[in-house]
Amino acid sequence: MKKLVSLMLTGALAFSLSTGALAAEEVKSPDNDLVVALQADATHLDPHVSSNGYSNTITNAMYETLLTFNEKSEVVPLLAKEWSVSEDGLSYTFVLNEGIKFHDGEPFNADAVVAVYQRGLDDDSLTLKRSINNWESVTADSEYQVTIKLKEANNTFVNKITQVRMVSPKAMEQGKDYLAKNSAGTGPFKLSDRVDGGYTKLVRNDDYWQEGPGVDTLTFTVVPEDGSRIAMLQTGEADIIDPVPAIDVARIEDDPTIVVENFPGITYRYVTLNTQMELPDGRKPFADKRVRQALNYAFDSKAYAQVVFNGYAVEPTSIFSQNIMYYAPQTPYTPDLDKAKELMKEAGFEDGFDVQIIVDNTTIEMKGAEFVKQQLSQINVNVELLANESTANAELTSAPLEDTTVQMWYVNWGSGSYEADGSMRNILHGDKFPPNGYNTAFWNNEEFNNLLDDALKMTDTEEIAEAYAKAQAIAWEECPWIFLGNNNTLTAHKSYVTGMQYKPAGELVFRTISMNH
Amino acid sequence: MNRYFIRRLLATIPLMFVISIFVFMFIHLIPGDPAKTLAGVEASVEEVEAIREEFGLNKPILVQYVDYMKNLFHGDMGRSLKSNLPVTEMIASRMHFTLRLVVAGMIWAPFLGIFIGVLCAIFRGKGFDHFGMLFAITGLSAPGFWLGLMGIEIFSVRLGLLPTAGLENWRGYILPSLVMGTGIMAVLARYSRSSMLETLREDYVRTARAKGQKEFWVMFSHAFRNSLIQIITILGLQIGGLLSGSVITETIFSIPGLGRLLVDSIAYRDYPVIQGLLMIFALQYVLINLIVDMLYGVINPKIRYD
Amino acid sequence: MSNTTNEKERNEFSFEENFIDENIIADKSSKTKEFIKKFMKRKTAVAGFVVIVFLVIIALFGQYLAPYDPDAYDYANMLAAPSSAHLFGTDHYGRDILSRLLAGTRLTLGVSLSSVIVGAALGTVLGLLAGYYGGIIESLVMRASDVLFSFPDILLAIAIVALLGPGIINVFIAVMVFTVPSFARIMRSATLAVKGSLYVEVAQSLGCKDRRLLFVHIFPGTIQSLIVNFTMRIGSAIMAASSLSFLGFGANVTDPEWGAMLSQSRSYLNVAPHMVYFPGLVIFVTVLAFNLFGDGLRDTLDPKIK
Repeated sequence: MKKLVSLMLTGALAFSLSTGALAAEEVKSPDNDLVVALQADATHLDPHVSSNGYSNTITNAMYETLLTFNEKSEVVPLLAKEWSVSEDGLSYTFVLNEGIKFHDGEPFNADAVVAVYQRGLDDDSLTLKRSINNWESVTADSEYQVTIKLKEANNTFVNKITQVRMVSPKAMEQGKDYLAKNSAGTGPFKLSDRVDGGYTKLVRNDDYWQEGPGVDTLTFTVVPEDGSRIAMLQTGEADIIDPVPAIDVARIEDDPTIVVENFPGITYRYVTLNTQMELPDGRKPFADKRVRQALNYAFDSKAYAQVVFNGYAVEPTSIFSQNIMYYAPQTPYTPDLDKAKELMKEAGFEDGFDVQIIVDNTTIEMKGAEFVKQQLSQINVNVELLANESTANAELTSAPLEDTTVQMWYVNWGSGSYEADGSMRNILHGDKFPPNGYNTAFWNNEEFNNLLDDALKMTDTEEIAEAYAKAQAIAWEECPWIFLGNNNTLTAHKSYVTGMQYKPAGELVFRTISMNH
Repeated sequence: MNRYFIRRLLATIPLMFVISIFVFMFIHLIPGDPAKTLAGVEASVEEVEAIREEFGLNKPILVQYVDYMKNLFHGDMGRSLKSNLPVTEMIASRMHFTLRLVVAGMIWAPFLGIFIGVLCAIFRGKGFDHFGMLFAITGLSAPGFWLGLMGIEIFSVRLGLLPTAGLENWRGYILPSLVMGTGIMAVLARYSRSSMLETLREDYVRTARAKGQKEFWVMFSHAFRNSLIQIITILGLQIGGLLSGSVITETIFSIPGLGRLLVDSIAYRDYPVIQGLLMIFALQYVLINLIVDMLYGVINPKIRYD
Repeated sequence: MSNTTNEKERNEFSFEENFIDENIIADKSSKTKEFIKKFMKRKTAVAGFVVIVFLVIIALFGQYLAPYDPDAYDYANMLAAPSSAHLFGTDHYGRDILSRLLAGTRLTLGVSLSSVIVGAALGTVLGLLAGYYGGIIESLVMRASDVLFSFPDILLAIAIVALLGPGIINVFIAVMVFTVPSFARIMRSATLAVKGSLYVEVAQSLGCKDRRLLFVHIFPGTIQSLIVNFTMRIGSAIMAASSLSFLGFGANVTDPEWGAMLSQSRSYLNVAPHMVYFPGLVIFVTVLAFNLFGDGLRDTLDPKIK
């Protein structure tokens, strides 16, 4: 036994001492086939069905939109070459690029845009629905000009149109099943084959309408285990990985063959405080603003960024990420334990209380919640972690006020179309108590609600900015949440990969991707 | 003999029926709403309701079960809520990954295990016995995911010898096969040792020895042959576990097999897929046991079924 | 799984064995002595036993031996390598790993031991009843075991934890549930074997009551196979708990449960290998000890291997 143990000890020692990455000179890819290792698979390849972030990453290589976002959070033309809006903010007219063909040979024109709108009207179960539900009509003015009319003015329209992917009308007629196995977009890659949950292989679209990618094929492969994903990049089995876990950056950043990309993300992290929650003795701690503020003063967001995200996170300066339009910076809650204790005392909660926090059972989420628990213990707030699968948690957090068991919820939110309204409404507006939304703080501030509702219909960007700045200031001061911060988007690729493009929060764009081989 | 097996085969039908009810109720009891998960967090109540409607999730559970069984009798296992693909197609397209893993594990592990076990029994109490058992049990004592991650770290990243993912060439099979096989090797080594020891004290072995037959012949023809029955029983159990229990190997080595499909489907509450997979796992288990029973007769013609 | 043939064989053997047993019972102390003597010959089993005793002591007093508060955060000392201040280094919160392992011994052993004990007790009672009464009770118990058995351990555990939610109590329940059928099966065959033996028949003909018959005459005859299976199951319970953690269905992260510690540490394999190494080693040694001990026990206790 003793011998065995000592043998294993030497083994471990040798293991930890053995050399790291090999030094590399000019590295070239051995082939022209690009492999991207993703954490999870797309739910569905029909771009009007899929809902998660990885679905977007994959479908964006095959499907395109009228307008898109660039890296600097600016809206730029894509399939439409220019666009204009009417005085009243109700009509948007797009002039389309000419001579573009879908993968199935059908032409892209104004009728195709109308057909996409029609599909959204006809099928309620599509995620496309939420992008078009404010549209009154879509008219083909000519073959290459189309006008979209809104039911009422809405400042998020341009953001939302960047999510409406154009699909061949003929393919849409054949339905979801066809689109699960065939691509029918205008994008730089076409679908070759796919094993659901395994990989999705695309080939270059040689008829692409503008300057396209250099690689022959683009394969997305699903690698759920963090360590395996990193290993694949190190060995060159993958050329790009998304995401890179923050803790592993140190492991690969010194490797000369690897480039780590680090973008401030749009995923804003917070803990909701159920303002209606009652303790067993009948008191409602989170109904008192002083308690909510005390929690924020007790929470050290700098340490949070360091401990949980290895420094790859930004401290909170408002109620959503600075990458979102109309972000307005607020005065941070600088950690101040004395002040926190003082506030707790004033509110009559000097001795603290017991509270439960709901959290998803992934490593990084639980690590964050554990940090919250530790921080709040400093002011005698004793937090118990309730970790569960996200699907099971969704069940708990969508219970209406009278049935809810949610006391605190460790969660995050990001608006995929980078809009201020989408970053606040669903989680803070008084109309969005579960099950209508995820306002599990059950926080209902009339002034805040009105600002959001009014701003939505405004057309003047300065007015909009002012309204949203006010709304942010109110929520910041009222603290329906503990503000945690937003973590960076970390991706990495081999140094021989060129022509990478990104959307604002580091979402990958493969339009001009090439490899040095 | 044939009647016995026909009876056994028929007996699997009510068993599968009970399993189908059990599985159906069970998976619907798991908290979580597939429609909500599919629609995503930004979905409205109406959208979620539309998805529920589309998949018939708003019907009473009993009606859903009856619908499911009706389709099942027509060979239709339904469609995935998530990918919309037919469940049979999904399972078929991923089954071969798992089968390849199972074969990779089975190609060496049982043989090595039986070999070690038999030798340990023959040299009972001697140094080889102790060492062999220690070796086998060592394999049984390390968590599979730990072995796999260590293997990747050492052989793929540091030494650059083996790929970390996929089953594209023979080198890709080495690490997964190691993780899949180690446990089986250990279990078989232990069981073959003890069943050898059991048979070694049987009368016929003693008689054979008394008759002056060569020791090797006694061991091989009498003792080993007879202990094979137990060994095969255990092997059957292990294969059953492998097919569905490969989830950890599949996760670490990014292989889209049935185990991963199950875990992913649970995460999405993709009821038809979970149901289909569990039914197939149960069925293969029952069938493997039947085959094992039939093998008894082949190995030892003296066994009669009635 | 029905082992018609094995049971039959077992029935035959048991006649002979129980004759021997009857004689030995006459002198209990000499039997114990003989057992100890035999057991001591298996060095690896003795080593396993010593480790288990050591672990039990730590489980009882570990929290007093811990040099640090196992839950104390120290952000100045995150991921510190082993040193004289922190023998096993610190984790991603700067918590002392040695202290956590010591404090976690009770939790880890507690969960695996208690789940196996409760599972074994339930399985034993069900198996005894099934074997003794036969008929409808037997059918019910055995068919229920068949249903549970048709899903491999880890799948069953995933399903149960998915249903109940993660957390240490539910891990306990999951491990317990998959322990029950194996014991029920073993006890049923063992009961059948003992039931056929002469002394039970004699007791029955003398008008012994059912309950007395079951617990005074039948149960003791089956206790050997029970103990052996029991020690083997502990190891797999610890492994199952850590595999569950790996898949995200395990104990709460704030608990210093070894499997959870190991599973979380895997992200730090390169940055802080000690974080993976020490929990891995402790799990490995513990499971190894239980398996070696179980093997040794079987060798000395199992009447069929003499």
